[in-house]
Amino acid sequence: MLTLKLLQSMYLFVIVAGAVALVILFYLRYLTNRAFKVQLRMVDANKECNYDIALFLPRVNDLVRVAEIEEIFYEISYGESTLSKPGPEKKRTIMRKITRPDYSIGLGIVPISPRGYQKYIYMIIFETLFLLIEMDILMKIKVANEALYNFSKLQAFLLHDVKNVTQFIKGLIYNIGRISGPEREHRFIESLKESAPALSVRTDKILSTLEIGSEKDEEGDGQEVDIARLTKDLFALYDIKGEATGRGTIFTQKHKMVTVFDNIIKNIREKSAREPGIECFAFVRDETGIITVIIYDTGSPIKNIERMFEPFYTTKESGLGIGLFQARHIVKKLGGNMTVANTDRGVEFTVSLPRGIISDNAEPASQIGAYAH
Amino acid sequence: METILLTEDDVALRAQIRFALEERFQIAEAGNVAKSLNLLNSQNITLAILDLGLPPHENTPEEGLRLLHYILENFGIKVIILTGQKTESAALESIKSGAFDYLVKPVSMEQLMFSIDRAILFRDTEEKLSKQGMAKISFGIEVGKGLQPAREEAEKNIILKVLKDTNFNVYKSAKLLGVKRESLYYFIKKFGFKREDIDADS
Repeated sequence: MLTLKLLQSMYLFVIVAGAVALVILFYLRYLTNRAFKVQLRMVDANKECNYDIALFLPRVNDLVRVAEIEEIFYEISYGESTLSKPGPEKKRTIMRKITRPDYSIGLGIVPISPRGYQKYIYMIIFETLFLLIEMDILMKIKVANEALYNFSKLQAFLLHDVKNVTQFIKGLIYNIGRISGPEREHRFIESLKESAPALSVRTDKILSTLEIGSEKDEEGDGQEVDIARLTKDLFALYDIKGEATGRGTIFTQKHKMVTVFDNIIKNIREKSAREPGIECFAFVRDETGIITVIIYDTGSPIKNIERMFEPFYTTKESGLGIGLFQARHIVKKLGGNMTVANTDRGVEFTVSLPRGIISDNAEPASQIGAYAH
Repeated sequence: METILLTEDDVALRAQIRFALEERFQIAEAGNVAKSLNLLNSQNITLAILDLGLPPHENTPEEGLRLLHYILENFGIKVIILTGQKTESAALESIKSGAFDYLVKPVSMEQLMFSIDRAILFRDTEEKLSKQGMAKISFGIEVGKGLQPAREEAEKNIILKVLKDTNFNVYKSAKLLGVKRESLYYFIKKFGFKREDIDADS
């Protein structure tokens, strides 16, 4: 009886308390939603600024104002860059600073109201902003380091060839000044004949390395290239056991085909140094204007084979990682396709190329004997 | 006539160097380590010009350094390094191993000729001195560590050379060194010399 009376007298109070709780709940939900929206806008803005904090940070102030933050200030340094916006002197602020070997971040905010429930809202935004800044910096450092590393590899690769060409010219100048008598003249011409094809391959290699990624179409005369013969020559050059069968001729600039198949076969040669006795087979097929070349070795499968065409990806300590990338780039520019896969019989490269237009004046391709060491 | 081993993987460059040298020297040329070893074992090579970046690792000095060590340990001829590898570690390793000269491409042919002439002069002079009973022993020390390590290194090298020359004959070695046999046994134990190691090296 007493309980019933008590309930009757508190009835109104319970309803009012419930209504107030609901209002608070909805208000908090509204505030949290707003904070999440600000977070999402910050993530979007960062993306729009291409993860460049120098562009992103000036946009943040406008975004965070609705999330209980009056303004932000910072002192950030990474690499050779420094970004700074000083904070107010007399206001209450929240500040965090971290220092790592490659970068340091100091980030602060001026909350509109530093106490109460608002604290949870602005702290969520503060943490998110800090995380975004640190991620952007790490991404930039990683990209810059990788670019520098790849650049130095490319430079070393090119330097080796350029130094040899320069040394060749020095030798040439020295020799020209000292030729005496017809016999020496004859010997000199013989040595030039021996040097010229190798020098041409060397300079082609330098050029095609420098032109990686360039969309410029090379000008030059095409010629018929017998692919089976070319692969056979390369097998012989690299002392690889195996055979090349089938028929197929492509009309293009020969050095392009040499680069494509040389990079594939050189890869197999390097593998055979680790796995002596492996063999290599090539089949050339001519089907309705498309030449398909399948080259496979009898060695073990390659780990991460899907990454083999990635520029600068290499499993060799001294490798540059552009050979196969360069090969596929040439094939694609000629309107063909190039794939690699681990199969039951070994690692298999497949190159498909349009045959091209064969003119009556086309020069037949000569052997690549000039390559031999 | 001197026979020079020219190890260079660039065919064009090799042809030019060969042409420049062939009037004065006999040239045995190779483009890789295997061919160089063949020539070293089949011909009377008296000097070597060596590129460090050799196939299959043209962009690193490993192959060339491997060949350099092999030549110095087994043939004891003067080796001139002619390479594009400008790394400090490759130069240091070559000089430490005993290469006569380290020339970084591109270098003038006059400089290469000068280096060859110096190598021949040094070799001939060393041979003359050797006939007079004088041997040149070189060793590396860290100057900041005082005289004791230098003295020990010198002792070690002299004793090792004499032991090698006498095929590990302790009696002869002690006589040549002017020490008692007991003292020589002490040094052999101290430096950890073993007959089989010396035999394998020589």
